[in-house]
Amino acid sequence: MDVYSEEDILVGILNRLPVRSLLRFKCISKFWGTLIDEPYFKMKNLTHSKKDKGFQKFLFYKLCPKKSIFSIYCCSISSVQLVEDVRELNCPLNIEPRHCIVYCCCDGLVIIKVYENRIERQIPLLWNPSTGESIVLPAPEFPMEEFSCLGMCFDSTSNDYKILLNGLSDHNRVPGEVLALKSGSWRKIVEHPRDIYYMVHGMHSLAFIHGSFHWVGNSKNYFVVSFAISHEVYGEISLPEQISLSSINIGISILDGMLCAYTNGYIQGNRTFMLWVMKDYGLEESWHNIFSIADHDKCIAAPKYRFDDGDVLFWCLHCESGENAYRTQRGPFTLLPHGILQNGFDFTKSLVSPRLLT
Amino acid sequence: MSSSTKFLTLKTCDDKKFVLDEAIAVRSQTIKNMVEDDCVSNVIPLPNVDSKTMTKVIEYWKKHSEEGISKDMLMDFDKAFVKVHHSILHALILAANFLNDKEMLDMMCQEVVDRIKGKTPEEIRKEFDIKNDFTPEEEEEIRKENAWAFE
Repeated sequence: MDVYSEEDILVGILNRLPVRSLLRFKCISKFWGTLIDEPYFKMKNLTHSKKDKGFQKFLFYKLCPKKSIFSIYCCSISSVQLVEDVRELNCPLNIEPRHCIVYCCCDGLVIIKVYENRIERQIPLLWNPSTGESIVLPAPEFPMEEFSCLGMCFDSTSNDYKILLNGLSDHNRVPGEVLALKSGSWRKIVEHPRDIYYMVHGMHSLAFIHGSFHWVGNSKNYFVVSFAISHEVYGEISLPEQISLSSINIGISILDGMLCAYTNGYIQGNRTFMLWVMKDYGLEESWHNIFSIADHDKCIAAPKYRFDDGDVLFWCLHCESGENAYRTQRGPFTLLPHGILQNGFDFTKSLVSPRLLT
Repeated sequence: MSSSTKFLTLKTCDDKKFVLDEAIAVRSQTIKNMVEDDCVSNVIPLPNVDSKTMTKVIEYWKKHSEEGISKDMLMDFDKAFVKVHHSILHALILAANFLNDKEMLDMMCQEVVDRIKGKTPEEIRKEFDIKNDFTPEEEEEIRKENAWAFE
């Protein structure tokens, strides 16, 4: 370590601050304002926020049936205490959407589609709820549907954010498309070399870890398809046997920095939620069953977050009624305010601008 | 103390001398480098640190070098240690930086973070003696853009 300049020390202090404080401090002086707006500083602050579990938030949305509009919320996430700091976010473009879908979150940015009442059109946006900035995303060839699966990541090779869209159109697989933010337009990716079909559904976003997106593919049995974002190369990872033999709602996600796989299959006639994590990425022997829960409620579930104490938050969708709820291994998990909850995502607030990064 | 204990003499900018066990003084990477490079004569000058600050630094170093001290005791010590006026905190940060003691620098910086994160821009300006060079209109604009942060 070298000795720092006084300005470096100030940066070292400011980058540990929560986004909310930084937004407030932008008006202290021109020097502070410029420093906080610096892309380099924003990334530094993000790196710090991602490391600190206390900065971890959960973003979810719900339908308010009375007014028939959707609201988006952000709260802190903790297994022990009741969630107290639920804050309603100002919807992008300051509209009150009759419909919205959040597809994924990455580095404080959210991919969301809102239904704009006045023009009666769905608008896909890349939005930073903390700064309120948003951009309209260009339209991919196959539109983003309700059950399209998207993922977003930072590709350090090209120093750019990339969005991958893996869609289904009338339950048929459509070619994946990638949007590099700096390029400003979608581009079809090369097809998977084998004749396989994909199992993608909208309960979570495309799992990104180790420079690759992951989803479930099937030819004779189920396995994980990986797609390296820098060089656009496909790979395969085997699933644990109990999962690959199941055929019901298999999903791939990220928990606690590890690839995880889950299924809502039947064991001895009972619908059972099984969750596995891959402790060492790419090492198939390291698949490890965290838990299995027999479920009598006819729900399908998707894991959302793993707390420090190992407990897992998951989202349950009732097969028949379509109602949904959050729960942990221990029992129900209440996210206030009540209402018809929708999908949720772990989320880190940031100052990163959805506009092109330089 | 064993007979092999070596002592170093540190001289602060106000010409005060501190005699310190070398094993403790090398918590400072700066001093350690000097010792390793063998460029230590009798006295190590510390032109950027005054004696008042150095006294605090040595108090910290000695506590953190005590044998058999428990983690809890150290935490209590650290908690009390950082409860100083912000001008002293500022001097300690500069000293920890010059002496290149990352652990101490981290702790002091975190203390500043904890002190300022809930404050208003006005309070920060006052505490750090910062001149507001925005026009009222410019300031209002920035406040409006980030209204939720002021709620």
